[in-house]
Amino acid sequence: MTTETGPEVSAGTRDGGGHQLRRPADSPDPGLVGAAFPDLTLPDSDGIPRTLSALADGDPLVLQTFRGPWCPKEQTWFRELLPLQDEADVAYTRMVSLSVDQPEVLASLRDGLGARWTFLSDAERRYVDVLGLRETTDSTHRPYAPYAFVLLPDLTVSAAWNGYWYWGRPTRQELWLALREATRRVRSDWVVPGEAGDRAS
Amino acid sequence: VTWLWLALLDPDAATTSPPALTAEVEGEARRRLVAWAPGGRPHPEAVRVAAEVVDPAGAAATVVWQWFPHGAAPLFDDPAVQQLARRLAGRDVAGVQPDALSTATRDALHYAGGLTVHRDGRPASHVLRDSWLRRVGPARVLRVGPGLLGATAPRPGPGTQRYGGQPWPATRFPT
Repeated sequence: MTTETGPEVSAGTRDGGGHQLRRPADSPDPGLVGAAFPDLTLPDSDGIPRTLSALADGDPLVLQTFRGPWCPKEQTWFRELLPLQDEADVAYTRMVSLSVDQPEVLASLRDGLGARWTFLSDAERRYVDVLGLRETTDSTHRPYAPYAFVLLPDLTVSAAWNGYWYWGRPTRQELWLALREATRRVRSDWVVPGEAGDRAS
Repeated sequence: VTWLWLALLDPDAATTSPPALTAEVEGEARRRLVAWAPGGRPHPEAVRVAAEVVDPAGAAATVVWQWFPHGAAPLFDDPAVQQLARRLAGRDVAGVQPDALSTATRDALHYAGGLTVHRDGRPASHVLRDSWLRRVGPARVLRVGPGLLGATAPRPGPGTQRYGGQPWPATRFPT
């Protein structure tokens, strides 16, 4: 069991010479590929502390930050994401949504949507500024801005999108292609065992 | 270790290896629920379960136990079993989250059963009534003593697939 006391987060560094994590500036933002996403620890919609790496647990991960359930853009995009969970069910892929809402608010949203993926609550805003993902134009709610990431199991960014304007968000087709690439990198048997040798011969 | 053997045995049942953990089952004529480390099948009725469900420090619990014999087990990829996995990742019919859960496998193809672990104070008959396991076949409710079954955080979804034939929700492919 993890604790609610997360690690110190440095969103601007990475071991191994990859790119620095910063706010996605474009859609997609190829400059973020290779950046290290910090291993957050936050309560889920049941109040259970969850660590991002444990949620990935060896699989590619779709991480979405969103303003809040009150935002019509988020409501629309959640309906777009819902079919993805049926595919993720069978595709060894995890999904996480992150906002500043209280766990009980996220539980209501999750149940209302019929979502089975994890919703993380950063109600204390422990990470939103450290990550540099705050919605700077909303000083009332101080929410996350809408961004989307595909992360490898070690939380390396494999793809990133800036969804500040709705059309900046990835389509399901773009997510599919990004998850194909992430899976290709993660699964050593992407080429069916024996097939590579057959091709070479 | 991502999975362990588990079986509900009579007191005089012969096993091929000593159990790692045992808990008495109340009202079952000294029957016991027994766990073994991975290895050769320790008893013909033993099934593989996710290792996270077993905990020597676990308290007594009400357990819904489902076990299909050879020849009666549905395919794990049967749509009813796949829907069961989606449902087991959440709350039961009454809206109560089990303390722990696992499906059970006997081989790489079949759903051999499963178990859910409860410590919410409901009468055993209600726990059984509200179990998703009953939607795919007969199940029974047991009162299992301490020292065998633990409590885990609910399995985060999505994900209904087994990793290399292991019992769901054990994660990560075998290396």
